[in-house]
Amino acid sequence: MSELVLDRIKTEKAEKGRSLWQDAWSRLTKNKAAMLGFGILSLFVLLAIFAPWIAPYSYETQDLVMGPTAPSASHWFGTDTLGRDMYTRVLYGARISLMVGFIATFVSLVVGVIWGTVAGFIGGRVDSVMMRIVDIMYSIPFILLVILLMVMFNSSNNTVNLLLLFFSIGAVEWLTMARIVRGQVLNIRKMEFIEACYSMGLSNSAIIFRHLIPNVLGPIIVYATLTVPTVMLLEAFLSFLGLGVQPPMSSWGILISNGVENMEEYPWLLLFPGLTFSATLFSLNFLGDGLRDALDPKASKD
Amino acid sequence: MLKYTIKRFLEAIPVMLIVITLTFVMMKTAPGGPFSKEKKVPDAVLEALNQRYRLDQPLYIQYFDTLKNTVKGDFGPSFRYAGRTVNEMILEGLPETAELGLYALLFALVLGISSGIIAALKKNTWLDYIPMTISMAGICVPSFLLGPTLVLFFSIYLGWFPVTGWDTPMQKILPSITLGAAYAAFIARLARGGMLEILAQDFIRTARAKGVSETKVLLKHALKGGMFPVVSFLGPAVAGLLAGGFVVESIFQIPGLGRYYIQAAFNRDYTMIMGTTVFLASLIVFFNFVSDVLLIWMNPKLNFGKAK
Amino acid sequence: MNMGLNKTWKSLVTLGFMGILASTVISCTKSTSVADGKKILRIGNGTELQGLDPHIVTGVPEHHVITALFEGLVGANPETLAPEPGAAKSWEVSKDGKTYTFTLQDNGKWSNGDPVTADDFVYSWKRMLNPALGAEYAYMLHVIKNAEEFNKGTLKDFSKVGVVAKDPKTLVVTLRAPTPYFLSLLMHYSTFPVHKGTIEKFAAFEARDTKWTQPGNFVGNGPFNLTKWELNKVISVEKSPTYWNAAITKLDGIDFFPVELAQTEERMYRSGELDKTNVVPIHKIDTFKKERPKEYVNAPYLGTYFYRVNVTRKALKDKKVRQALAMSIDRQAIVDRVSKAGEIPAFAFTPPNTAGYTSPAQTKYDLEAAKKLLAEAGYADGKNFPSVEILYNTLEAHRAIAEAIQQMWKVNLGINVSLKNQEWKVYIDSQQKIDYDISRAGWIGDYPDPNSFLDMWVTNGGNNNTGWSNKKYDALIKEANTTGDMKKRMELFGQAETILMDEMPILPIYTYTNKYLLSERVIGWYNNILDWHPYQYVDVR
Repeated sequence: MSELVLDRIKTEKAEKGRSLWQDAWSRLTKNKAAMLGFGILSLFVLLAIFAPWIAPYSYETQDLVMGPTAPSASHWFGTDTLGRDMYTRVLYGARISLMVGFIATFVSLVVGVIWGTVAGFIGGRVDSVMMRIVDIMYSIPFILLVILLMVMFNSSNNTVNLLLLFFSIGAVEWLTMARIVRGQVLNIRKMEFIEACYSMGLSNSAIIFRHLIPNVLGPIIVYATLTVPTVMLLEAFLSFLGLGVQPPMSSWGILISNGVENMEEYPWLLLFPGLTFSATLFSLNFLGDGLRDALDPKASKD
Repeated sequence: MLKYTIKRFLEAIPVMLIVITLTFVMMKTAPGGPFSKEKKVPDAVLEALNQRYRLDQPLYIQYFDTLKNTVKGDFGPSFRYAGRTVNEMILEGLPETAELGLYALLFALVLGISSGIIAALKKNTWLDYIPMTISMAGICVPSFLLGPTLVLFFSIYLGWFPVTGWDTPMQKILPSITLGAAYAAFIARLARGGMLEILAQDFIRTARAKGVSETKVLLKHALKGGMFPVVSFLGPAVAGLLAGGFVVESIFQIPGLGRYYIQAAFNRDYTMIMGTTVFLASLIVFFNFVSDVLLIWMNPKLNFGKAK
Repeated sequence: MNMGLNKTWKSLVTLGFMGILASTVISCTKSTSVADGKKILRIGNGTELQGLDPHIVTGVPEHHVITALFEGLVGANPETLAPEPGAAKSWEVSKDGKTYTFTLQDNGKWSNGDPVTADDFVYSWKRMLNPALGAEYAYMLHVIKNAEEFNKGTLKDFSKVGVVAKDPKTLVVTLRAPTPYFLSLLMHYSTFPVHKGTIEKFAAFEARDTKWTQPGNFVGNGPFNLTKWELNKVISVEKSPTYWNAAITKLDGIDFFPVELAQTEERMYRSGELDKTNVVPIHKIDTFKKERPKEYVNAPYLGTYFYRVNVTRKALKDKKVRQALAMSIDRQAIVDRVSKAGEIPAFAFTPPNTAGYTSPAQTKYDLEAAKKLLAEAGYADGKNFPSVEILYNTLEAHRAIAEAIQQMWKVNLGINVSLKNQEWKVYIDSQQKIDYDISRAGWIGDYPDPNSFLDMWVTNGGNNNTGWSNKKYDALIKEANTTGDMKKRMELFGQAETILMDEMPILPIYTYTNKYLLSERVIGWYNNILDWHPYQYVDVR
């Protein structure tokens, strides 16, 4: 046991009680990119929540005679092929996409992290069984699963559909997260400072929550920020299978996939949902990196 | 090592059994059958068809048929494509899909790992921001958007590449990039994260403090640990590359396995669903095993066999 | 432009190391398909074929390939679809319209050199009607005497069925009733002959899926012969030297590409990889109309796009409600602005001028009348109208039309309907179980005759699926199909459709058109309502 390690455990313990969160917060607020990301995200969330009051038009009112028009003073993002205001549709789309993106990612994050940590930490037979369950979940045909869910809870109620959506996305998206977390935990578990924790008589849960998870936070945050866009696009595919929001309501994923088909004729139908989608992901990413750095238990010494 | 391999092989048996059972239940419960059509098939005809494909048998007999076929490795005739067997079709589609997956994987690994490492080493400099921004773009741009866009610019406007096909080297470039891009982006970000994690660990700091050269630190110590998240990700990713090329295969008209996997579910082609699912499940089990073996190799202290 | 820029930038980087490679390979990969001087027609053909056995398959893509490989008794003029000699050089019809005597071509041959005989047709139709084969299109032959009984298994003796080979070149067919569209039925691939020796080389008579349709094994009697079939890639056929009329075949071969994505197909066409597409992406129609009007083809098609109404549900039970719904759809706006392909607004179910028949009863677009009817039904201005759902299968075009109709009903009648999409097979299941309120549907006629559109609405018809039933309607259809008097027959159909358009278990929306892109390279290609193009007349420049 090196001096350095023991020294560090003591410091961490001491730091923890006092000011971990305050420290993290102050580090985060100093990170300009992260704050910019946080700002943009908050703006989008606010816009989404207040969409019905902000939107200049109704998301469903059509003007077939007008049809698709390029962006103009009266329609900032142009109009779609049925003559509906794209700005309004992007605003409403944000409600669905942000909700799906964050909730489904959060669900998969919680399940995946717990599953992966427990498997990696306990190891042995428990690990085998848990990881084989992950293999099984990877292998079953997802399309059939979705079709079945949709038929069993046959409903045109958007709330029920959204819940089903979270469930189906959650069912697949936690798997890779669990594998990654487990890999990290296995790696770190064998490191000196964790062994040191045992020798100091710390309880399992203390080790997991105070030492293991903080030390695997980096990949977790990275993967979570990667999951959000995947989930938002998956939503569009699921709505193809009939699961998810029903028209005339829309989401960014659906708007983008419709935009792809019109990319040459009416590029604004792809451009604006694409831009907001990318802006969200970039912001999320900056925020994620900032969070990672802020929560890094070793960061204070760098 | 041999013991571990045998253990994993034995574990694969219940995994496959459960996968087959779940798939069987799901495909039998899903509405619509292989012969449900817009113009309704007359009852007498339907009866003849069901008899021909043993769909008139009780479910448990059909289930045991499926198990028997799987053990024999013969999934029987496709319900959709008259005169073809599932085995034939899988064997026919596999080379194309494997080749596409391989190129995409190489593209993703080379681009992803190198940019991830550089970004981690040069954290918070332009060498970090630029590759990470590009990789974010790779994630923002899904393949159903990237593929058609690449085709539009390079095949239609510039006329450099053929629009579709999978015979000449020129035809293989755009699909490989399209499929590889998202994976490259994932790998780049995971590699960066893993490297940052490892570079901050004590033993690296100790090594650096001892005056070990930066290259040596990187190659000897950091790389193995830093690639942990990438390797964990690769197991499912490789299997996904082999079976999940559906979108890319459709956009570029590549006669691969990915399309069968998806089409089988939509066609309710029962034998084909079972065949492709069992095939994919074997890939997943195998590549997750390979990825776990790599993890052990990268950190010999790990021993999955025992609890602490 | 953020996303676009990143992508371009990224592509440029990758191009850096590929550019060099690219320039070297480019010169040798381009235009290989016409390089060897052969005249090959390249056709985009939708999905991969289910098979090539004319007795087993059911789809339109199959039709496109099978008509190149086989030939039925009667051919068709490529322009007018008027019957022309096919495998039969001539035929006679008895006075009562029930007996057809076909004389086969003297030099009609299979691709392996065997002569095409009357026995081949007897054998083929016996195979088609054999209940054990499970041929879905067997009902196309039910107009033949005792064919239905044999097909249903109630009659075991095929010699009682009205098809006899009098001698090797003479086929006599006896019908159960005069059938004016019998010759059109013979243009359908389900009536095409198959080669006995080849079928039985691979398996028993009634085996469904054998290897006989694989290249190398395949034997047909059409103007082209199968040379290559790579799944999800291409089907290639080449000119058959044994075809009786091979002298007029101009092409050396045809390649059929199964391209499912309309966008990919359109790009293959633009880059010169295809001469004819299967479809045109909706949003490309305006562009092609404007920029390459000669290449954009829009031909009437024997089919109707319509909504089924479940007449057992809530408010939809009331025919006044159904009429109101039908009258408040602005069909012209839909075809002009939503589906965009110049489809013909449909106000009755049978497409206009089907075998000379146009429905005497037509619904109309009349908002005043619609509001009045809705008020009479007790839902003035849409008040108290129960929640109703439009079901459609997932496709952007269907969604757009459903969204437009949803809005029209909301604005015009004040009723709120919701939309629901389902994956194809789930959708079919819902439809056949009549588990929907209103459901999008399409119907393509099997043959150009009103019967192909009207007999499906009889009580418990296999494709009725609306819960609607009308005794008088049933009787009229039955009578129309037994009378020998052509004029009276059309009148009876007219009376039947009048009932249908009054009861409105269906809301017709438009008559389909067949839209595709056709290169100016192609000559001798005509448009017709059956999408039938005898390839022996087609040529490429």
